[in-house]
Amino acid sequence: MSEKRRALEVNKVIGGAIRKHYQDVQQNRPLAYALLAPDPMIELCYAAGIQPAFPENYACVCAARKVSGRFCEVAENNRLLPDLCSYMRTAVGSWFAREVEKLPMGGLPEPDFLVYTTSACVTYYKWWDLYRFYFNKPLIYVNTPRIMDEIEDYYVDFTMKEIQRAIGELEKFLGKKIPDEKIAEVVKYSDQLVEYWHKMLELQKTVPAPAGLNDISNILFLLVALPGTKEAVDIAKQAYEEMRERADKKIGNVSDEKHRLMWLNIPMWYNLGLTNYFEDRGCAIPISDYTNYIWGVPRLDKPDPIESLAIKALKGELNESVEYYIDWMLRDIKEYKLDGVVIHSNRSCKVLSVGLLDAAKIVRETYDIPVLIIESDHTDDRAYSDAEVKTRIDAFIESLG
Amino acid sequence: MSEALSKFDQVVANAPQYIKDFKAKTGKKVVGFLDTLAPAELVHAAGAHPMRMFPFSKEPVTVGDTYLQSFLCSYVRSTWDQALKGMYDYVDGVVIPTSCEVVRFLYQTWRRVNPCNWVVSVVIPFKKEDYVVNEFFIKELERLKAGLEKNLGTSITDDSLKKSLEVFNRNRDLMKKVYEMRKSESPPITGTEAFKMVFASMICDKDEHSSLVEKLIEEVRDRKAMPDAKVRLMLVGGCVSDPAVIEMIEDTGAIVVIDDLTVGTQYFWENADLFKPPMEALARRYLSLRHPANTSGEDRAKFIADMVKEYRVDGVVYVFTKYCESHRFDYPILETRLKEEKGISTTLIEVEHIVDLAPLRTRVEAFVESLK
Repeated sequence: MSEKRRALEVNKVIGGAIRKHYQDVQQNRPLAYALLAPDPMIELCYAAGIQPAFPENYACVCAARKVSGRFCEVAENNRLLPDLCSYMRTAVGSWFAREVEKLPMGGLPEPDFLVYTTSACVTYYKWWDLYRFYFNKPLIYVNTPRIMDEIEDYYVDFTMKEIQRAIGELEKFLGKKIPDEKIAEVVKYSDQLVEYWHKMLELQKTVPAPAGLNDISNILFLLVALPGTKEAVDIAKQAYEEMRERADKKIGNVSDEKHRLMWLNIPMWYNLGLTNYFEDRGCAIPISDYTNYIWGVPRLDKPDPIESLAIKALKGELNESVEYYIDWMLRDIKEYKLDGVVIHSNRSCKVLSVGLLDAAKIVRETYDIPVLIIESDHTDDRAYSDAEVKTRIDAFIESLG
Repeated sequence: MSEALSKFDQVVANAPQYIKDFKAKTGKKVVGFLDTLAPAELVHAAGAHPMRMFPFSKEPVTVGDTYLQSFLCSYVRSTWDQALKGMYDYVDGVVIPTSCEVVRFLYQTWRRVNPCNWVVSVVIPFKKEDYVVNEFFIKELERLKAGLEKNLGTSITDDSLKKSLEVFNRNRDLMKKVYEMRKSESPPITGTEAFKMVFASMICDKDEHSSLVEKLIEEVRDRKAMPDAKVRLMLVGGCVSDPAVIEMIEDTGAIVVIDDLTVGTQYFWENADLFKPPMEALARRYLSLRHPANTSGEDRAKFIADMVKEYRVDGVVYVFTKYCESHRFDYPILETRLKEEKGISTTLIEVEHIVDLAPLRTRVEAFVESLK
């Protein structure tokens, strides 16, 4: 590891959890494909003894192994048109390539059914519609109303009924009841995880920031893939304690922290080294919209666990509005003592790219701090130009003073 | 030429002028809507005039570029650009439904920048099951109704909504009659003319439009629009708002006889059930639309296959909007169900609001040639 940055020790534990997750995916049945935006179906899967698998996360794995571009190409050769979400093209491409390629982590096995919640993009609806077509397997999903203005009471009521209906459908599929106390237990674990998560995000306000963007994104795996499990709470506790200790001792992820930045949009999973490039030049990235806003989920501590799950699904940047997120950005630029913003204008993620230019404009007007916009893609590396991006980053860092 | 068709021509060629004249004549307020999923009947029931906001000008996107990236749908980008430039100065307010992601997220920016006086939203569910109507959608339509009443300073009653549903149903029935006539061996109107009729329906006063469609039915009863056309096409796709695209396709000598387009059956095919209470009828009608953002690819494939049979279609041309996820996602399903399983010939062209039609024409020409 570079002397200029110190990754958290807990990363090793999380790495183990990721490997174990992929082993479980290979071994456990029934297997449900699920999606990653704040989604109560994951907790319900764990409550019901169903193994969830995450094609989006699998696409990240493929990107990290530098095979996502190839799988995108395979998908395009199978009628998936370019510019569609590259998570989808990578995951679907890997499925088409399964008989001729050695897939990372052994690939994702065929699911027994499909679950998701409509709390993110239309892509989710269309992607799972496509999987239903490919696999001809049952689809169980929760329709959360989009939040265009305010959360109305009937949005919460409807989402709660949707979750109850999904429980009924899962029970029918499994042929057994999911005990209420089991649901209460997973929601309790999920809440404990979120509580630690909030504390960790809060610690990132410390100067120097105890964790780097890659550390925090790694910890996020617990929230996206393992919510409702005790294992996730235990690891989160360990992560929090390590960050707490660092914050107390003023040990930063970047040993010589000169600047503090916000990252907007999904990281480029095929080039996580780009974060290191910033960090090696004294720029800490204590906050991102991905970790803090999309996953700025509220506590799950309502008396009724179903209501907690409903609120989790409804509240999140992807189901809400960019409007909130611009307000949050303006608040956090102060609270996290930031002196610049890096925006990844992400070609194949429309939902996270609409509004970014507006956000950049408002930040510049409000705080007069530099904003760097990099146009690229989260998983498809074929159009990424490392040299060009780094030249622009160098100029940006210079402008930070 | 048919009087009705030339009126549609005029409206399509200069929709803003039609609206301005209409406004001056009637004193009605004009409410723009951004997608077929916006329940326009509610606007009509409030005594205002609903109008689909297309990017009426071919002016390149300039101001809008500072908000929306070039890899987003060009129709939405152009509409937003033209709103910022004050080109919808005759619009009193706007309704934005949750359709695609670009429109959904643009709503927030629209609300802050507010280029057309006021804007209200409506959340469209993904699920279409019966329970969604009462548990969610009627309540959401009530929210939209309250927003419209507040901004328009009028009230929408069950009676006024019922009347509006009748007015819209009549218009839809009449357009369906015209479409029915296109099943004939030698259709009385071209696809371009049908497109202009539907486009005009999204702009014009409904009663006026219905009278024109009635007139059209009489005028073209014995007409053969393209007597030499040997190839019958169906168009499938998104927000194409420029009749030049359809014209280019028919310039190859083929005739478009049916469609699954925004300016087409996606807009008017489904009627409201007038035996139901008006808000419920409205909710059910808007849940029944075949909008790609909340319709499964299988259901779309089924509709298209049925139409291919009913209208004796020789080939399907997908006219997809570049960067439009909802339509593009359905492509593998449509190709499997239509081409592989039913042997229907298909081809794909991609369009943008401002597009060079010449290379697309070459592609369509080759396709039509292969169908002869």
